[in-house]
Amino acid sequence: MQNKTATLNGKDFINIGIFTAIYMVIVIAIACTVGLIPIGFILLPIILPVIGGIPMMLYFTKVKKAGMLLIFEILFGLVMILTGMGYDLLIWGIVVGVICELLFKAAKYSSKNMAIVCYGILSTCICGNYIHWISASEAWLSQTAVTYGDAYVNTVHGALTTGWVFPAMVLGSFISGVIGGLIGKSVMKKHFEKSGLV
Amino acid sequence: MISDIYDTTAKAKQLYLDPRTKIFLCLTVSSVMLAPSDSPMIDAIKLLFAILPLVFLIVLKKYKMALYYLGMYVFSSLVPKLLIPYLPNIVNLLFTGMIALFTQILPGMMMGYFLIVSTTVSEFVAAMDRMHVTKKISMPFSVLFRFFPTIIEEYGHVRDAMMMREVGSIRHPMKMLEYRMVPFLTSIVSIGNDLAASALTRGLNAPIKRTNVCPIGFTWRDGIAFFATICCLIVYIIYR
Amino acid sequence: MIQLNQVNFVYHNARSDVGVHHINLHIPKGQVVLLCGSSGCGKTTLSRMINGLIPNFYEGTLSGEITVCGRDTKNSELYELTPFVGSVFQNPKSQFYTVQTDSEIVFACENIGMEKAQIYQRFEDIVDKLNLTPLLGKSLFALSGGQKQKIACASVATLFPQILVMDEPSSNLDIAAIHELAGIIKQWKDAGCTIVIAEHRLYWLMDIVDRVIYVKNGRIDQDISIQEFLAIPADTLASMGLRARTISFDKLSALPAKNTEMIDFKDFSFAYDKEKNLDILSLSIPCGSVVAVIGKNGAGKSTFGRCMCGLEKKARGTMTFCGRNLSWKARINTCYLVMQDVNHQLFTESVLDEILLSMEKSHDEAHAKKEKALQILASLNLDHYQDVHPMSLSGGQKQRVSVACALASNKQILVYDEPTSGLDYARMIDVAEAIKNMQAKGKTQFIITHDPELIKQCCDYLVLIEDGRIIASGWLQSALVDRMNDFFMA
Repeated sequence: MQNKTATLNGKDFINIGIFTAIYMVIVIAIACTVGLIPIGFILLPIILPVIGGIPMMLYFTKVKKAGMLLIFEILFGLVMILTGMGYDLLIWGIVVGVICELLFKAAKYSSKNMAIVCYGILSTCICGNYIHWISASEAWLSQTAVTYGDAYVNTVHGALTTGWVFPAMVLGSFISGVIGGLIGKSVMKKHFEKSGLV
Repeated sequence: MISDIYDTTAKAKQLYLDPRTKIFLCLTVSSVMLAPSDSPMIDAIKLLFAILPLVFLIVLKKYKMALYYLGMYVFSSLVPKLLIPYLPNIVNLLFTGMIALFTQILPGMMMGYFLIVSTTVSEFVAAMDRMHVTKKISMPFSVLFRFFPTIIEEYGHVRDAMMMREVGSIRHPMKMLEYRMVPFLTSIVSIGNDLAASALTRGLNAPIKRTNVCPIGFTWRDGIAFFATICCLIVYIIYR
Repeated sequence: MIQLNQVNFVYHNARSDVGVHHINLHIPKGQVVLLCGSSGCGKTTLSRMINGLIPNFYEGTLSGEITVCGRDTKNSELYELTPFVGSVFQNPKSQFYTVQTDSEIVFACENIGMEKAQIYQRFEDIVDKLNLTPLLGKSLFALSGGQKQKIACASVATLFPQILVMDEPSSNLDIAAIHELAGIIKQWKDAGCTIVIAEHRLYWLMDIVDRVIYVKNGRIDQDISIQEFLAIPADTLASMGLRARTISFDKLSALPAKNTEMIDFKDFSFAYDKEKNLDILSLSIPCGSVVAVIGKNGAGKSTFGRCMCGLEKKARGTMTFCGRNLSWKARINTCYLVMQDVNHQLFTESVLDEILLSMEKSHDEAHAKKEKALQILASLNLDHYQDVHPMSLSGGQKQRVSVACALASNKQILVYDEPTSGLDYARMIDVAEAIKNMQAKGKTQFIITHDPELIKQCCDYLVLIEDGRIIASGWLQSALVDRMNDFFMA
């Protein structure tokens, strides 16, 4: 039986494509609504994992072989590059993708709790987009501040010890990923298992 | 017989460029735009690369998008500077600065948009095959693009259904999420299964080198595009 | 050509599909075989064994031998069977892989690595044979179901397979598209292909097939020639759970009691496409009737339904219900659309919750609501299923749950969009019974359908739409019955 073999087959590739598409649409939809309001933009890495939890937990039930999480992350990263977001997310995605592959493989692709943890880790990859943004934002601010005089430059520099912002964002997205995963798990149990979808 | 599959090179719809050229342009624009700038020469190149997608959009007759791009670009290059002194630093860092950075992100996004509207899925696949990208990436990639319209269609149906049943108001966010996701995912998964069955019976998974009947191939236009882009890149590297 | 020896198969996660048992079957070259039987009888499973989806795609336990074109399907990969067996499936929207017609037609050829020159030749040949020139260069998302199905046929035909397997190919098609499909199948038959069709609708196949296999509970119950099949009396056919072999309509025996309340549409219009628009100058429907809304694909039937239900805010003109003018907001409160893909409309985890969800707005006490919900379920024969997840029900049952929701939210007008596509006889009768039940409760119902048998079962009023305009409407009496016969025979 084809599905029993260890390598990915056509059905798996199609599943990867579909779920990446769903995830991308959710990212775009959130970026175009919540992302446009001031605080929403920075909260995006925290909102996204909660909403993406349901489809992604469904995706994890389809992952039974090595490679599905890594390819998902690579595709996600590639699309992000093509939409002008830079390379950071792809690199980040490959790293977390490999970590999740190993973790989920260790759990023999069946543990739901491990799926939730993996989803939490995967969720942090959206922060990859912000690596560039935060540092560039700092650079831009200090550059622009010059035009407002020395006093202003000093106040800006005072506030720019914002090394905590990025780790906080990564942690936040991991936690909300776990929350999203738990929501996903409960919806799976409530609906998809009863209706015979999985 | 007139059909797209007989075209050997790109036509007006594809802006006369090979998909590989477009991908190269796209990557160059987005990476140059994201790099820090500290000399007037680099600023000039950045401006050039910011104008490029605008020209492409106008040539493709996507006037609405071109106008939107122009508006957003002007807004994000002027407004943040006016706002800075009046806002606290943390807001400036996390918000005003980000808006200002839109001038760096937007051209890349627009190049991405241009790439997608001017390239069909089969051209993407053909281009990836020529670049020796493994099937493990190119197959899900083509499904990804094939599914965007399906997702929008199915989501529209679910929204109609919710309107009809008068359920899922914003007052219960969890319910709203659940009512949207459950019927939506159920139908997407079943469409995906059917699609896989149909594609596999038509030999999708064959371990054979796939033939591509697709308008893909370099012409002198691609040569010019490559030459110009590489010139810009060289200037950029010298002045960095 | 096709040989099945003592085959048994059970799906791993058997839930909606049952397996098949003790199948012995030989299909010689050039024969056209119809697989029929009620839903879930195993005919689709049988078709999946021939095209190799079992055991290569659907997981389960298989025993016995299946040989197709001299190949053992158990030890062959799907792509090895591709050049010999072509498959066309039920749902047109889920069986295209590319997004454009031209590339979809050559998709299979590309996959098996055919030479470019040969692909062009096959492409020309098939486009010519199937009259596809008007469809070339279009986005598949913009095509109608019938057109998509034609492209699907073309895509498998480019490989000139010797065997064609079709799984309910007509269930989402209108009458004109079915005729075209029948034409394509005849062409294949004349070319000497072996064809296996699993199907509920029988009337369009009667002059094509050579042999009929009736499947019951996963076993071959009858294996007879078409002549023998045609000799089976019509009522025996119905008791076997099969659809009718011919279409004919009877006139209403008696005109329904005069109802003075009317639903009136005046200058009802909506532009749903660049070129097409719905434009109804004036239409009056008696309250309490069951209206069959018929017309070709893309004539504007579904748009009419959507406008009536308030799903299109931009619809112009007036709709008056019992003397009350309905704004689009009021239309949502008064009308209910049972959608074609009823899956989209079911949200909760049990049938009872589904009904209660529709009652959220009413101010009754919780237990009174529950009692009312149970009453509604009982009236639609759903009371055994109150704790079942709605998505795990069969197609006809889902339709009834959706109708029950309409009843619970006290809607007065019900619109059904293709309620019986892909349903077998018994489930079609289920839906018809539910419709009659609603009529007894005084609801006005509009049924957008391509299913002549459903119309025959329950409709008493007709609206015929062409190019967005009403070209005929009235009680199903002499002149209109003739008109409808013409429509379905053409």
